[in-house]
Amino acid sequence: MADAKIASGEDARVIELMRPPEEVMRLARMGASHQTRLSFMRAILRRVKREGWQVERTVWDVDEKGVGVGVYEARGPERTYSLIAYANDLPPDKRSDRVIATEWDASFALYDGVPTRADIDRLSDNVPKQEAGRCAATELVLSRANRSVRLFDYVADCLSQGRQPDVAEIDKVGYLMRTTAVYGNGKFGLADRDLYAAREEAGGPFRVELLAVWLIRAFTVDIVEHMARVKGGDNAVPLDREIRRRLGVGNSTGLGMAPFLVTHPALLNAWMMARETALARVRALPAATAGTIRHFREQLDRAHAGLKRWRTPDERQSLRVCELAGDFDKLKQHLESEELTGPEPWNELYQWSAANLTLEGQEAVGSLMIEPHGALVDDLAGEMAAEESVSYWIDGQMTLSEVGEMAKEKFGWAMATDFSVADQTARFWYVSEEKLEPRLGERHEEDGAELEQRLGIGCEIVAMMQELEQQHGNTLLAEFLLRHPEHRHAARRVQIAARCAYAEIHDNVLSASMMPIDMLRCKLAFFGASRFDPKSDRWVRITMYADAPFPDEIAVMEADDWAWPLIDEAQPA
Amino acid sequence: MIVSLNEAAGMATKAAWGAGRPWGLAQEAGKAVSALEAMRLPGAQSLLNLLVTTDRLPCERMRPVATGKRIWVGKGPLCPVLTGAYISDGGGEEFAARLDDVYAPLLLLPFARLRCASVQITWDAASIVANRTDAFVEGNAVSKTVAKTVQITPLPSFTLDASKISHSSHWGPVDIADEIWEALSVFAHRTYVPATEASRLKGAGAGLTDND
Repeated sequence: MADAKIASGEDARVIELMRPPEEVMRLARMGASHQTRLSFMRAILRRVKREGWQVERTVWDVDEKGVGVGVYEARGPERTYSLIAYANDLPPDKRSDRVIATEWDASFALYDGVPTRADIDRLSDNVPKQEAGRCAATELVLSRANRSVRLFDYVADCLSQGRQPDVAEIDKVGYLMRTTAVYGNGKFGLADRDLYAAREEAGGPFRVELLAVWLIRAFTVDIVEHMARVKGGDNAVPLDREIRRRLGVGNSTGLGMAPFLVTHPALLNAWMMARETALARVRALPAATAGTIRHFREQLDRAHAGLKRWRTPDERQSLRVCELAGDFDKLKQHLESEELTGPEPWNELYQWSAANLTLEGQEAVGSLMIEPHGALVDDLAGEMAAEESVSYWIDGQMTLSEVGEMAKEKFGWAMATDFSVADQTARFWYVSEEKLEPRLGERHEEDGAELEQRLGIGCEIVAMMQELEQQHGNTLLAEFLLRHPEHRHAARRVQIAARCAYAEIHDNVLSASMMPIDMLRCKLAFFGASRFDPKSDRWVRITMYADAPFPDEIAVMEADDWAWPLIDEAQPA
Repeated sequence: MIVSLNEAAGMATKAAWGAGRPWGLAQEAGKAVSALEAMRLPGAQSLLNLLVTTDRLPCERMRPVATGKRIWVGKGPLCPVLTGAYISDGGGEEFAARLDDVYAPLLLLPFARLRCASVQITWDAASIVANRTDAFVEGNAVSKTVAKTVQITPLPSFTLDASKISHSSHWGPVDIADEIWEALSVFAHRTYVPATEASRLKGAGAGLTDND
């Protein structure tokens, strides 16, 4: 790979085996991303286990209608973080996953420390209002969730009658509640990330947000058990632990998350660099041990069996899940004759999968190959934070010919795109006046394109290159940008791309054929999400923490053996 | 209004964009405002003063045309964000410079201190010595009128005299006067596209029931 300097410190063979950005940063491949052991949820639970965090529900003040507040204190070695959960009795006509909703079944804040009664009261006036309320720097995360009415009512009914819910019904949905936003980093008055970025437990990407989600998962079970007790009194039983563990937290994610990957190039690079380095380290191993081979085969079996629980009515994704099952069949067949005993056996296997499997299959195999190699790769989970400001400032001492050469090298895909063709600029991203909802417009049919968000990086680079052709090559960039400040954004992105190999998506996000869910899936896979269930080309539901230990059992369970659930023979086909 | 620095940066970026600054420059206006507010210096107020007097004015009319000498002048008063970006880009043979006629000169500070270890900026109403984290401010840093002469002088050392530090950077919420926040919001509002029924229906998740 050309950008060896980026992965400095790595063995030359590792650098050689890193997949180039031209391959990795295509939307089709990003849209086939799977969680890996570097994913944020997994890194969080490994830390919680390693450091012996204690979680205790210290407040439960919820009435017969299910309205009230609960507090969950998560105590780490240095600090305590508390989830404050406000439960609501929401009329069905108000239940909407869209950002334009104004009420939810539950709303949450992650408090930095232990809240006083005064904090809980203050936040009770604000957290349930979400975007319309205000938080303070003592709060790190703001979130809300709606019930899966079908499953929530079914489970509450079963438990109230003293019986356990049917596993098949649980698996059809996979969660009792789904979050529709998890806000952090200074939004609505929350603490700026910089306030806690230096803390070891909170400095990694989305650590506090996903810690909150793990605690929300515990709340979703507590509230359903509470409603069962209200209904059934002494007949009610708690949810069986094995069944409970199958439940994750749902999440409904729309367009709002897609621009994030474009507006955080240094961070995207850090995530991709870590994952690609992990894969290359495994591929560069000269031999495979019997233990890692066994581990790999076990996880493959579990991943294969787990596909039964990846349900989606979406035609495209449903077909892809079928193809993935076919890919796993092929891989197992291949492994009947391939003992992984030759030189660089993981690299051989990767090459085989690249030649024989779909993108879903290739990315899944990459994740499975990384899986048995925690000791080799887990340090990379600590390398996934990046401050955008570090690569932000422009080096104006570069000449225009140098900038042009750099742009040609890093944005070849954009230079090869004809942006004068209507289909290539069919879309525009904008922020709607209504509750500031990010939307995608049709440029040639709708008004508002003059206010488009600057996400079409390729198009901007090409526009800058056209202007550069009119200039003297030895002019300094600073002088050019003083006269043409409209190209500052493009110039900055060229310089970032030169420093950060995986900073840019190598596809046109304005094109008629672009699928926003590809960007959503990539980001959510880094979070550690699974069971992607697209609801359209711009909206996806997922499950988080399904099969992971709950706070009250992580001390006695494996913290990181849940990404591919144990095979359950009783589980329905 | 108590806001996070991230909110201050976001508002400043959108306001600058709404007032006609190109996107890349508007982003730098946002960074500059949050850097000043982090030192509890009136960045938001300075940006508002700038945008009110230069609303939709083309950059061409606010950029220095004579640089490379020790005096920078423009066709009209200079925009401190555009001029500041030129400074942080490393533009101009001589960084020590006298700028004639500058709007809201406080906004030059975040850019100038990227160019050198520490810097002194003086104009008729104020004098500021600053490095990357601390500053010593004398006089009134907020200018509602054009500053006639602004002198920028690089200083050799990172360290400021500890007894002469009046402002230090620290992350955390800042209090921006409601009327300033509201006025910036008016500029920011121009960057939002009004909703139509058609666009609403095309939004993520539209038209599907969530009671499932």
